[in-house]
Amino acid sequence: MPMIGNFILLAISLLIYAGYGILGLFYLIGAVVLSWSAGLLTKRWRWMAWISIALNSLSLLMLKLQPLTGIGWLSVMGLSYFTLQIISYQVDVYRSKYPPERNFLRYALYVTWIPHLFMGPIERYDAMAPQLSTPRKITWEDISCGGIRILVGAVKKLVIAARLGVLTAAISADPEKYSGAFALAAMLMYAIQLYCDFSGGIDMVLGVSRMVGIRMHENFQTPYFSESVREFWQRWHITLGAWLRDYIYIPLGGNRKGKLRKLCNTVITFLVSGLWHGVEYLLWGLLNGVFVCFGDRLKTRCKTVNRIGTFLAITFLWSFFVWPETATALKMLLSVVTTWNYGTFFAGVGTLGLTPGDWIVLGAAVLLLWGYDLWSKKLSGWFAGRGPAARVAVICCVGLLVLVFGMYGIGFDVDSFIYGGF
Amino acid sequence: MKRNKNLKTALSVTAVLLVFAAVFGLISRLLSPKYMTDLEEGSMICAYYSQAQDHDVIFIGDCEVYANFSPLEMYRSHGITSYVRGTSQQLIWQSYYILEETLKYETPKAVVYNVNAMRYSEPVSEAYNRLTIDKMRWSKQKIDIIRASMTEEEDFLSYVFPILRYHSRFDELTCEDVEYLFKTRENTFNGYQMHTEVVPVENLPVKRPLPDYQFGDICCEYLEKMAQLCRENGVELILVKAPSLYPYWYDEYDAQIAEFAASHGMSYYNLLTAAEDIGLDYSTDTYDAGLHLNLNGAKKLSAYFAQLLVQEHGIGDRRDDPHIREIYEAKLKLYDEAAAKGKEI
Repeated sequence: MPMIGNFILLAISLLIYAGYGILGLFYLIGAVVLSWSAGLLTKRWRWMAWISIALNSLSLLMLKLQPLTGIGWLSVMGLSYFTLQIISYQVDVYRSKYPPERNFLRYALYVTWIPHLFMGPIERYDAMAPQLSTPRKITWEDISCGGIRILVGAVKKLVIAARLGVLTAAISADPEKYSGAFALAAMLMYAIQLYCDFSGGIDMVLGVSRMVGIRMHENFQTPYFSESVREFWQRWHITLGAWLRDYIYIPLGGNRKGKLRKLCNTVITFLVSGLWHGVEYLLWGLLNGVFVCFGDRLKTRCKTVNRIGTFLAITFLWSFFVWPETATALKMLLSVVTTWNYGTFFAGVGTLGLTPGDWIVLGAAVLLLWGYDLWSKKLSGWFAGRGPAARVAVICCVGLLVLVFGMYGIGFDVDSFIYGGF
Repeated sequence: MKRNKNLKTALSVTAVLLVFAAVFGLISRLLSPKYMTDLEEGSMICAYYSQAQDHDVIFIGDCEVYANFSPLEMYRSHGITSYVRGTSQQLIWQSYYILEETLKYETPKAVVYNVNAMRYSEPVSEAYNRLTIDKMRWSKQKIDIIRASMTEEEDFLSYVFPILRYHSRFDELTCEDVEYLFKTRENTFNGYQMHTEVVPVENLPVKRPLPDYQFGDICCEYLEKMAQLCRENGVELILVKAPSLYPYWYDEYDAQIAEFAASHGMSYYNLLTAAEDIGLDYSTDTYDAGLHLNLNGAKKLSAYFAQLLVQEHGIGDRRDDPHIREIYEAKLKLYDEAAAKGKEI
């Protein structure tokens, strides 16, 4: 029975993926076949694992260095995500953490399961395999909890991120005109936009997966409530952080080789993280590494001060995402203190593309998000404790909220996610 | 016990879903444009459904029919009962499906098609599609017209669930949206949109030669289908080009229509060339510098065309029918009042 279910999910995944280009599909299938075969042969020929890891790492590296090399043939959708999954599997098999998977269907589904192919979470094989090996029963519990999770993601993405996207796009498109207060506003808004866009997308991935009986790891844990940059990275894009920890930081020596090596390893790990986002984000990675190494020294006894400080530090670092050109990002960062246009800001911000109604919806939705993040566990528990009628009512209400206040339709690219671009 | 519990659950879920459906429908209706005071052209298509569908002549086509031909003037002068099923930028495939829908309700003696839209072989814009299609009743024709008209950016689902298209109107809602939530108001006179302003023709844009004058294949195909549909229903199809000065109606266009009409044994009237016979004075008879006629112009054109319909096509005078007279006298009263007020209706 799990075989049939897996086959159907695999077929759907590959069909959807084919819609993004046949060449990409061939690459994906090739990568799956090669890594699965290499996994089986690793026991006999250990070097097979190294070849597979090297080939996958090289592909990923070539994709990331594309702006420098100009070689664009490797623009394969989701390569940044499924390559990390393949490498983790290959390394774990090499380390004999678990035996290689003999069932091709199961392994192929692990790599290509379409919802998480484009933005994660980056799953480990040993966490996902048991779910793919046992018969899945689709229950009302899974459908309703998955459904509400998808809708919560849609609220984040379509109601909040889409509106903030209008503002940040307008500001970042014209750095000459919009500097100073506008640059600061763009960074603050982008911090929320990115969170809503990425975590909203992940909510949808987790929701869809749950509806078909697959549980995946959480990728966010209210990151903006962190008290330090170090803590932030433990609560933001958790599965990437864990991957970097297990396959970069610890193999480099982690914290076992003295304080200096620990600092170096941390910075190297964040440089790799920056490179994973793209070669233009190396400075961003380096600065994050420095903040993680030394940020804790700035902590105070007041939690609120720490949280605000961390949020501002992270916000400033997102400037490299708002203005992908490093020189522009630095110029805009500087303009926050050198260009004093705060007096004209409120008159100007009204012309950036949102209507008064949009501003009200945005403000209310951000407040709701705050409350949701604060009490998400309680709210989830409350929902799980309700009967079918109450659950359907909640789903209908949230669905209606998305339908009316979401920004979608002509002129909006709703299936484009910021982290899908990495 | 368990069966009772399941039944209770099923009933409560059904009740929730029914309430949701009602709220969804209400919000969807509230957010959809009413086309009452703004973009009135959007409500023209549905005004027809509330009519006594007993017309001898049906006009179809773009703004050149609903702004230039006044059915009430034709009734007043010659007793002809007619209705204009024109909409903004009505493309030929839209005209075809609107005609097909009309023939479900009634069989007129003649259908008059204004050929101006023959020049457009692709959907022009989503906004115009909406003005024509949104308020159509659901039918096979509506499905066909949507499928034929959609631009690349549109999707069928947004016609089925207008909330998907109009959800962003939540902050544009006015009293009109509440007032016309469940009702509508007739904005035209048998499909004629009255304009009494005078804006004379002064400077028309330069008439530039076109690289290609050939009508698109799809336009010719639908014109053929229209002719066949009329034949099958025993309705005479009459082709006209309304006397709008702009956009230019090129001689090459005219020749193609004349040839089509001749080969199909139907009449074609290029009323641009008959402006003098009609008595049109473009310094007083247009409300937008030659694109459309105002009430003065429409009166002249309607009387002229009604005469043609009577003499050349045998359309009869129905003023002797007391039922028709009662309906049209009531309409004429409102029409004359509006004309006297001299404002745009």
